[in-house]
Amino acid sequence: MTRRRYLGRRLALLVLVVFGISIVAFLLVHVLPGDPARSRLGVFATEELVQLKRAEMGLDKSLPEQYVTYMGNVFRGDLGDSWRTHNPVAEDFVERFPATIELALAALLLAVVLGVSLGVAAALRRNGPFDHLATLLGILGISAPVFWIGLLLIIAFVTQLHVLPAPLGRLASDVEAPTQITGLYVVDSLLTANWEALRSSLLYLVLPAVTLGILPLAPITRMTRAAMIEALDSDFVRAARALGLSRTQVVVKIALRNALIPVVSMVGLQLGYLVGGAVLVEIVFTWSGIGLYLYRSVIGLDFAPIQSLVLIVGVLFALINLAVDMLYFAIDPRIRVR
Amino acid sequence: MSANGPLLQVSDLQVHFRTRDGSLEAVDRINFEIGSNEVFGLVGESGSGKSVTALSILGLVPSPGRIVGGDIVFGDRNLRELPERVVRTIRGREIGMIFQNPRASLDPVRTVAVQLSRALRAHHDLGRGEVRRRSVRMLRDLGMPDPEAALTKYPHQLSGGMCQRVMVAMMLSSRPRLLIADEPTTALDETVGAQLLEHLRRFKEEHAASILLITHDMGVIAEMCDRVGVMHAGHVVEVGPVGAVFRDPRHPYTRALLDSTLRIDRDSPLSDIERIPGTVPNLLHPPPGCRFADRCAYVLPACRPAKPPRLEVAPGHHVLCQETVIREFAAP
Repeated sequence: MTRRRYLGRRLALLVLVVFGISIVAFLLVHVLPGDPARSRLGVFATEELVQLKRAEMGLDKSLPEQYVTYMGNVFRGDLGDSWRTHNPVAEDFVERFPATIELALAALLLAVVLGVSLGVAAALRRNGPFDHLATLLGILGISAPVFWIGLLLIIAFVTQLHVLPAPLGRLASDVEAPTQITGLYVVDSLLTANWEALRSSLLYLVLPAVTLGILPLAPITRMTRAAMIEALDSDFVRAARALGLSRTQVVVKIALRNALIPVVSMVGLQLGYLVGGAVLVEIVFTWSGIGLYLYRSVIGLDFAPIQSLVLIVGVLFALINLAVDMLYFAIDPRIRVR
Repeated sequence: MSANGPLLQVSDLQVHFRTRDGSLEAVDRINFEIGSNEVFGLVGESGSGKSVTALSILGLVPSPGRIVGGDIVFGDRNLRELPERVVRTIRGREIGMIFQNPRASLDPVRTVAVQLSRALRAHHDLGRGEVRRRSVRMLRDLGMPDPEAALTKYPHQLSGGMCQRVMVAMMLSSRPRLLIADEPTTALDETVGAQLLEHLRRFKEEHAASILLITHDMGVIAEMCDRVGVMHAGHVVEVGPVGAVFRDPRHPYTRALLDSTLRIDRDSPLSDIERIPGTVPNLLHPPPGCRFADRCAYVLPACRPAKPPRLEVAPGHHVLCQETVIREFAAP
């Protein structure tokens, strides 16, 4: 009942947010330097030709008119065409999106597993070795740029140690892509028992995932540590210990379970930021996801993809936040009655 | 005290908290014992070390606190010499503890049923049906309205009194021989508090258990306890049978504490209530002698240089004070 009302309110809010994002995405074309019509025709086109092109693209109409046309197209699934790839943007997007999802999920998985374990270890022994490691990683995650870390890792593991393949794509060139099911190579090759593709895709995934994972690792570790310290010092943990429960039960089932509540919201936020980080990582590792696609579109002044990606990533961010808030209902019973 | 020795004997217990500015002596070489089937009260102002003493017995002194000396003998075992793994099997099963803030002492994200099951299963291998049956029975015994429904509730959905019943049920689930109750009635209203005390008394009678009752309420001590220890600034300044201590307090602090209590039976007007002058001394750099000296009306030069001796003024009645002070104090 209350839950449904809350959900209803959040959905209404989501509509507003999406409307705002669509306005920003739409206006972007008009704010960015360069004329889309001119950039398509090239510097040698005559002014008449450019004007014709502008009329063809609907750029001569008023802004509200253009917005309505644009949104109408979006709702029909028409995001415009990329003049660089000559494909509809929607098609290009569907093709590249799974690669980014694979990268982001792998990075997030790494960051959560490592960040939560490190945070717990740091909280259990304040000022111990793990606590210092957590601090160090925190400083690194905040101060070192992602692409720089990526380059360092490439130098170390590819050019020096020769243990990982060169950062060129998602699979070795002589390995065929697994049958497409989800589009995530690791998952697809697992599902189809394609061990060769699995091995190759994992080898190619490791470095970009680690690079991207460092970004959310620091805040997740810090949040886990703080929440865990609070939980360990709480009255209910002391009471649980007074009951004679085992240390593992007290630390994992009681303290960690309570500490995870703020960590979950933190992780949700990080997932949004990961999309931003993915752009840089995909460039460094030539990972053919939407980050690389966005980068190439920006360089080539390819407006339709840029506009669409702003819209899609924005909506995605809003949806993730909504999902995280819904997750709260599952993990924190106190929210249910409010 | 029973013929075969006390159930719990605390001797020369010393607990320090390490801080940036040095060691804080929260508990300084205290002594007391609790007989079997006895209710022992520990009374004193906030910060006198009562709770720390209680947590020491369970080996749960929070960091940066540490037991730095003394012995805690429970039955025939010295808890300080046992490894953590063995102490854990004593916690909850042989020594239970009821905490001051019942709601905060319950896991906020688990139902009452899960928490009771944790308590029941901590030391015994019980099936699901058995856990449920016992949970309902324990809650009903404690006067929980509609125990079946209470099992499905989360702590935030219960009143303070109901949370207290759940916690007490958890702590009594293994029928401990010693129950430590740290300010059990402070967070409750008068009637609920009285019910709880009544329940504790019944538990003690039915299971021949002992209770260590910590409170700052002299009324509760008078009503519940067989013997009482008075704590001040980390020292137990007086221990003895409740009747003797109340009727004839031998330590100036105990006297001051009693004088500061409102008593209905004496029909005393509010203006007769005495305030104890001064505050509890800083335990970071406590004075070497008596820690009550600065607040004491009977202070002598001998009180300051060294910790006062522990004197037996009557059988089972000990006072931590200079003999001359006691004598002067006894003959006003």
